[in-house]
Amino acid sequence: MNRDIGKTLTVIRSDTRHNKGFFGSLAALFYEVYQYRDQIRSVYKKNFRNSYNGTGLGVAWNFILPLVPLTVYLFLSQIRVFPSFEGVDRATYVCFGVTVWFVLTGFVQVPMSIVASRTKEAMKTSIPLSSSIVSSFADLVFETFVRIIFVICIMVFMQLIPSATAPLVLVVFSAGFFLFFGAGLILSVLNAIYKDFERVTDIILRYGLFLSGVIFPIGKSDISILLSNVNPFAVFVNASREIVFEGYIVNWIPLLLWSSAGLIIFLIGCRLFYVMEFKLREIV
Amino acid sequence: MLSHPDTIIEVNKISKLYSRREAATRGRFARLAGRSLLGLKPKEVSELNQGEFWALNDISFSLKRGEAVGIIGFNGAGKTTLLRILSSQILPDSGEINILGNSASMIDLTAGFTASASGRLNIYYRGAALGRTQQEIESTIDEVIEFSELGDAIDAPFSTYSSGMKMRLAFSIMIVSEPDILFIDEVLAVGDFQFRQKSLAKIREIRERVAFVLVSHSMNTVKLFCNKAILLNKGEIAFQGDPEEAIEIYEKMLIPSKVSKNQRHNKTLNPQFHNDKTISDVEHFWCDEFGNPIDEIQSGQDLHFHVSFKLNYRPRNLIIGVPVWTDAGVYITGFSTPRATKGLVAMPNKKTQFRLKVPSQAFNPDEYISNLAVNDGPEFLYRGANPVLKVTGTGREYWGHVTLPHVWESVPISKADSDGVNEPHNYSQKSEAYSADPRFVFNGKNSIEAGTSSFDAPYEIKVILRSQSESVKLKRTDISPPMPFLAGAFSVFQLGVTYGFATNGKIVAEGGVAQKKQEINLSVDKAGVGRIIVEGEVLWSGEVGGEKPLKIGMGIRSRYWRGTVFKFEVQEYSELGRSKKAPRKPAKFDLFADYIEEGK
Repeated sequence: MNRDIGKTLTVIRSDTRHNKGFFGSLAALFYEVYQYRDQIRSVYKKNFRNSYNGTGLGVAWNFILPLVPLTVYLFLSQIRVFPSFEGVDRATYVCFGVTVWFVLTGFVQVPMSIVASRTKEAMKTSIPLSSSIVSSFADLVFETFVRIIFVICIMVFMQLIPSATAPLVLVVFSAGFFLFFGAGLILSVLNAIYKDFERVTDIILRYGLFLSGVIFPIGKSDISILLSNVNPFAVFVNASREIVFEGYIVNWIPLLLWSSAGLIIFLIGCRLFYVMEFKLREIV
Repeated sequence: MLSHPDTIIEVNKISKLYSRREAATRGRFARLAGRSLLGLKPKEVSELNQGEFWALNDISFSLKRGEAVGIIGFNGAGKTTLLRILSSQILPDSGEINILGNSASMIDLTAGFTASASGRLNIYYRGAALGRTQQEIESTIDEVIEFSELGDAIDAPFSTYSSGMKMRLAFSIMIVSEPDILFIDEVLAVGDFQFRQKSLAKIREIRERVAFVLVSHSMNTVKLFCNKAILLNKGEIAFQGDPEEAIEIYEKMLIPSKVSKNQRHNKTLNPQFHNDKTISDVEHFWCDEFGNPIDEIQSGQDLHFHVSFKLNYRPRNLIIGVPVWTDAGVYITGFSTPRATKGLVAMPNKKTQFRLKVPSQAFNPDEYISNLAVNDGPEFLYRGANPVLKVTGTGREYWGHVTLPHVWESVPISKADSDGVNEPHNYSQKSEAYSADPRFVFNGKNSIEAGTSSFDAPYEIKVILRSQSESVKLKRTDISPPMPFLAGAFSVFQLGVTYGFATNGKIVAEGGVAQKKQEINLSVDKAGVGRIIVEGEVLWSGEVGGEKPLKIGMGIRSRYWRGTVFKFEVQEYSELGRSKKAPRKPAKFDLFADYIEEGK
């Protein structure tokens, strides 16, 4: 009996991945993630355990840590460090904004940090970087879940009822995911060429919070309005807040434009990352 | 597509470009990223930039199931790069590899393990990292744990494991999966001796079903395991074919021709040293038994070494040593005076001369370089090169650098072993039944002891060993179980009968292996000094304890002749200096060349 019948023939060539187009690359990445789903699950579990291993409070840390920045901003807003504004109460405004901010910046930061830190391991273990990125997203999803619970608690406390369109925030998040994750993938590749990309991204994500209507509104001046339209973070933060609390999106054109750009950036990012992954392993 | 139906891996003209300059690497990466963003395919490498080189160039080979190829070469030859490309860790820059079926690589065995997690969890983590599903991992986890022999430690954190335990677990995870192709970097077997044997047995078990690519610096492993070899040199195939031929070429390449022989020797023998304030008139050379200098000797002949010098003080602990290397600088052995004693005696300001004798030296044909080192305790007085010694062959085959005395024999299987039952034999009873002389008692522990508790030193036993094969034509029944091939070829006494002193059952001195028809005289004088005299030559003398009663013993100490009966006869013996003839009908003893552990 021929034992080789039904065996897969793997072809390794320098341009194996270059043959794939945008959608081919996307499909290959999805397949890779599916193939390594157990690895993703086990790495997520491992990271979850590691984050509290050896601590006295144990698993409570996994709930405390995501809430620390929220409570700090909440405290600062309550002592009126930030300018006053009308509409949604301060506590809900800040907590919701910070939660959305961390989700969107996470989409950028996760691929960048994984490529920078796990490429050596990826080369030694043959684990694709895509699976490491996805398992780190699982951390982000959990942290976001904890923060959302916190936001809901505050809304209950403040007796604030969300609008009926609130579930549509997931659509906004998805559009944001395409844009920021795609950008994160492109930046992770560019960062391998020049480390400056990481520095610049770090600065933008650290201080962009104050220019994105996260903890207080941007303002109503012409520059502020322009900024809120061209700053994609501001666009998605505002759109999320509006759809949850007001039931409509005031500036839907910038949202639509950025969402369309996001789809293109996502496809470009996926292909670039997929094609360059093996080269990334050698260079970082 | 694979070019041959039996082939399961085909490597076709692969090349890999590396750069010593980070800027060049990033530059090429940036150009590739740019082309990729524009949807263009990578350009073939037409010219190398500054600092770039081919880590692998135009490598091609193929393997069928059951074949093993060994990749050898210097450090930096591209061996690990090739293995990483084959195991899909990195991509080649040109060429193509076709692999049919699953592959597994043992390159960085313990990479990807989580220190804080238990061994059991790590099996899941590592299995998942290898792309196995939860079900696949669960179906093999018991086998992995059993193979790794970690027992209860499997639930302890990975960080608490010794490096051997880590390797065992990592190896077990890999080997249990039984891939179609296995890429191995040096780690054909891991762990302690026992586990290595088990690993090798597993490798042997899957040998016919799997194709192996083995990178190794162990030429012996490549020679024994692989049926073809690739010698890589600076990223290119210098030779591909028979492993022995590849190793021969590699070993020739190991000795750079540009380096002269003298330079090579100096590198091995240096540093040289001479404290001329303490030692002078130093003469040293290899010589024959009469002290005449020689520079050539045949394998197996007695070798002598002469050294003479003058010291201007009385050394406290004079040590002389002669370390020996091969021509290529492999350290073979050292002939040193004992270090634990008070050392040799040398009078101040007088010429002192010593002679080293190496009976039946075991060096194989080659040129040997050596030093003479004269020390007073830890302090070097002199360290200088001896003349090169050339050892010529005898026409017999040899391997390695030395040929030690050895005999290969077929070991008969005793009935107990063949039945699988290890029943202890009652040797004493059987032997006593043969014994005609009450002063010779078989002690049941593989030896006959002469004398009884009533015998005190001085006492002498003189025994002429003579195998029955000399006087009586051996029949199969003379040696039990039958070993007919022994009859002509060897004397039974060459096979494991040793002689020596035993004081109350504890051996204090042993002679060599008795030859046939040797006269062996064992004696103890009034001062309690024992002597072993073989054919009139004092082989050994020393304190034998002085405990009373003293028993002088002869016995079999070989473990290799299990269940074999040897016969010899006592012809004469003497007591207190009075020689006595053995009875007309000599006492006969059966010695059982069986290895019995103490207490059995």
